Amino acid sequence: MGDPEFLETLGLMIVLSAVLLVVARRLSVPSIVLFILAGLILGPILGLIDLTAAFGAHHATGVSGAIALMSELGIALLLFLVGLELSLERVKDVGKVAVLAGIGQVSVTAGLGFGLVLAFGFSMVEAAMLATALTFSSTVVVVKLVGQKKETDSVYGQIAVGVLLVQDVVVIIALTLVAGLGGKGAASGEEMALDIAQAFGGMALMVVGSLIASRFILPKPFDWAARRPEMLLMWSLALCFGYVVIAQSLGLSPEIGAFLAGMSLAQLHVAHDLTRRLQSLKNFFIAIFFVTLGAQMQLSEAGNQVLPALALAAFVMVIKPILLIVIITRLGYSQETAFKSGLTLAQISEFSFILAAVGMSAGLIGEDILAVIAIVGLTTIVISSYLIIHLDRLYEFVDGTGVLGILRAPAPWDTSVEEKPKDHIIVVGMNTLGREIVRGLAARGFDVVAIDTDPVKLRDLPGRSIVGNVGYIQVLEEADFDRAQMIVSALQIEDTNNLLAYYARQAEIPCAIHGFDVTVMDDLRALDVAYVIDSKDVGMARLIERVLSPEPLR
Amino acid sequence: MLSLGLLVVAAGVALGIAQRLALPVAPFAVATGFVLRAIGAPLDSDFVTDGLLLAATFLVFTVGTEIDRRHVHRFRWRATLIALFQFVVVAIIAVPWALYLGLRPWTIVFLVLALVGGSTFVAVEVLRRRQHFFQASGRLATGVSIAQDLLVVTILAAIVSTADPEVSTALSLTTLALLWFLSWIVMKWAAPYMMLRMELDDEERLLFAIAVLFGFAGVAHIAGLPPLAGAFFAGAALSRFPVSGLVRGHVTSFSDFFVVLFFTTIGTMLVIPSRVELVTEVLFIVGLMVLRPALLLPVVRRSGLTLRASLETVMLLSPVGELGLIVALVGMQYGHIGVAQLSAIALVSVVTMTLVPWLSSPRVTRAVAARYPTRAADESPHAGHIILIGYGESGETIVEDLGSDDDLVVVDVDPVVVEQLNERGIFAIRGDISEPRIATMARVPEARAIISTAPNIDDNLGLLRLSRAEGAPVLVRVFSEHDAQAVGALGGQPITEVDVAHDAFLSWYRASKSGQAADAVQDDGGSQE
Repeated sequence: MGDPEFLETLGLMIVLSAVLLVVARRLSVPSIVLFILAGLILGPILGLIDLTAAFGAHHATGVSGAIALMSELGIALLLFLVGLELSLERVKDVGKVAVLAGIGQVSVTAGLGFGLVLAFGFSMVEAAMLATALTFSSTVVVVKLVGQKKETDSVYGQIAVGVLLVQDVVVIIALTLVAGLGGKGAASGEEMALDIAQAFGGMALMVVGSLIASRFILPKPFDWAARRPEMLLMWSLALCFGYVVIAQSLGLSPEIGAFLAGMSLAQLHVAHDLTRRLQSLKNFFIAIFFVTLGAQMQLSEAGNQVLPALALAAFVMVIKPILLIVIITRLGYSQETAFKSGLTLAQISEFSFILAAVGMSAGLIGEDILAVIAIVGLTTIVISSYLIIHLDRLYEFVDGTGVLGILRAPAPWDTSVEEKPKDHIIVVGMNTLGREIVRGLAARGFDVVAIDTDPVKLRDLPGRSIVGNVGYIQVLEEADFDRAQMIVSALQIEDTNNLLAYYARQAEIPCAIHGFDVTVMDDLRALDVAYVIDSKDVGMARLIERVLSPEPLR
Repeated sequence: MLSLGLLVVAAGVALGIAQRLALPVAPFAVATGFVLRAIGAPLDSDFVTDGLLLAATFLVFTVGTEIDRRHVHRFRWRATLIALFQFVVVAIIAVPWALYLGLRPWTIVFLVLALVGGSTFVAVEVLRRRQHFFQASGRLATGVSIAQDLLVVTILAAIVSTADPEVSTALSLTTLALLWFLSWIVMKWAAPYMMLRMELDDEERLLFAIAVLFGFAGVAHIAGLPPLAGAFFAGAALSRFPVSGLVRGHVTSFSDFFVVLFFTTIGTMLVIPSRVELVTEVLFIVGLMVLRPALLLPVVRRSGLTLRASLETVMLLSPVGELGLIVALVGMQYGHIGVAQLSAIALVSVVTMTLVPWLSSPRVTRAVAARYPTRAADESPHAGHIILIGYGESGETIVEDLGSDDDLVVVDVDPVVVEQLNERGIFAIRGDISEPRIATMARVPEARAIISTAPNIDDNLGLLRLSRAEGAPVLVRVFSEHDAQAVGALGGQPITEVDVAHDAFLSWYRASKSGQAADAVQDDGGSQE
């Protein structure tokens, strides 16, 4: 049963990554950097693992093949999740500014970057690949750090995410181009054009197919699948891998298939729940990807490329934010929003690595270019992480110097954070009891948020509702549970009820939990539940009262 | 990627079929995997074996995370005893069969261990579906499954070190003890500190949990034990509440993904048995499904369960499940089990896991209980009496409240319950009230009221149809408004738990709010003064 060396390698990768994450957490170093560092330590530095055959190699065998597949899976899941978040609402919210800022930034950065890289003596193809890699910013870093600051809903947070989505579309186009260019190795211009046309044709076919599937084929089966969480997960992964296989058969990269699969599910109401469920799997496989990346870095190659790499890193950290700040202020936003949006995006992306991997796999670039991207990536991701963490202080400092005055931006109108709901009541579990409680509370004028894993059970209920499993803390966070006045659970699931009571106690929020059986009462009381809804007991008391009443029963 | 895609699609199909038929997914996943092989799907063998190893590791880890003794309540020792007894029972059934087939001693050892390895997943799924998880039978079945898992993994690790000449038995057994100890240390201190105190984010918590998994698996592997044993102890180390709740939030997607994938991948490895093998295996399955519950029943009965609950428990313990397949795979890795034997175990597993939901269903247990001999009641109740249908936990409460009333008559299919009630001086009749003979014995037309606490709405509706003809008023306790309407339509008087519970909750909430308001007024008054 399997090669034990595979588990050994995987174990080393995960254990060291976890150790580094915990040890370095006070330094606020982003996880991507630590994963790459773990790979560097295990591979080039200590030589404990050998994954040189794994990188971008679709035909690697043995341990390298298995690890390469897991890395591919990580990338596919990452893109699947990006597609999954591309709902029409989101596109509408940040549409104009994201598109204009995104396209403006990408095209100017690519143009200037191309010139700069050429000046360092790289070939045209290498310069094109490097310049493209420099234009993207890191979704993982931005989403993670802005989320940690709880500022994802701020205007600058939304603009940053919007620009990232535009960049994601550019990534897809770039990956398509690379797939087309790499199709038959060194080819004539005509053949290259044909390859690119084939790739775009395939992509157009898949986009149309996924839109039709999203509108007419997927909603009903996925509504049904949502009734069993593991089925929803497995069906969506089946869809993802199905799209991946189709993309590969059309000569496209697997990433494009995964992205389009995500996009075709993004319009369904299970998309949000699915995103939460897939986070853990994605985090695990993406960690494998970055550790593998680190393990394959050729340090000797990196040594020769330090100077151009540092110059390109400086370019990314200075020119890219300036471009964004200028564009965003011209679109009518305040200098604070523009500054924060620009600085937040001052790094290159995990997609830059992915692009490099695909480019190397297609034979367009060598390990030296990968080394340059690695150095630029490491440098910009580490420095920009600290910039994001201390963004407010940095803005105050720069604003104090008066240098931002030259932007002549409008007065601040967009820096207030949207007020979040508070003093609401969260009701979990939409069985008959849960639905009755939601209706009863809403009828008495309370602001109620209903949560259940089954979207069907949430229909026709008053107030806000969330599809999800409260076993995932993100579901409660989305319901703003730390500002709620009470949490009520009508569930008949012992473990989940206990966990809910635990979270409520930690957040010092009173909770009422369904004590559906006598054996679960002690644990609930030990968790300081304010009120145990003892349905059996009260039901039984009413029944006995009725039997003993002098009123005739007939 | 194609291999993975095919396996995931097959797993998705299995989940769909299982959901449609309301049955456990495992047998269908094995079957769809087998179909993949049968139709010659292009599966990469390296990927299949490595994928199986990874899936098995996560599966065993997930099983480990379920080991929370709080689930078992008062049944801890009884569950351990029953789990140990299971070994004896399975050995009694399997060893003669294995000897008849001329198997080698180590093969027999692995085989017995594999057949003992039950299916915690199936038991838990069936119990959750029926909402019996928290009842005494559910607690006991869960407890025995947990004890069985613990015993099987420990014994597996011990026999692997003994059976493999290249591995130092002393070192392995010491490491096994060390893993137990380490698991306890992590459970007691390290996991609560890391997961609760260090305020790790989601990604860090996930990686910590998986690092514990690979750390334990690595220690086991270095000492020559199966890494899967380490994975199990890693799961056990993270099984204590509230750490277990947080861990589940992160690894649920992994278990949802890998568990189904494990069964599907196993399916791709199986071979079709010859006709002789098939006949032998079918005979063995029949023997296992009849003899094992029959031998276990007296032991389970001693736990104080009713006959029906005992029958449900023994049936839930009868399938060969995921752990059995893992034992067989480990046996294969060490050369003691062949593909044919793995296929035989898989067949036993598929059949038993598919049959269990039906064999343990209320319909079957009631039918079996009805054939159990008891003494017939030699008196008749007085007219104007109250008839209580079903003496479950709720029935018990009613008897406690109305027990002093001489006019109470209990009707239940469970002979043990009836005997116990008669011994307590409560008039009890054994049987199904829908049978005319039992209705006559209970004097339904002359009853003042009939109370039904039967959890199944169909049973209650059947009772209402009968009593409407007989003219007795029927009070039925129901959970939902929908059921209440159905009961009302047939002339019954529904007591809807939800309404009462909902009213009680709102009353409490209003009282607590007005209490807070009063406190606030008092506080304001105090500060003004």
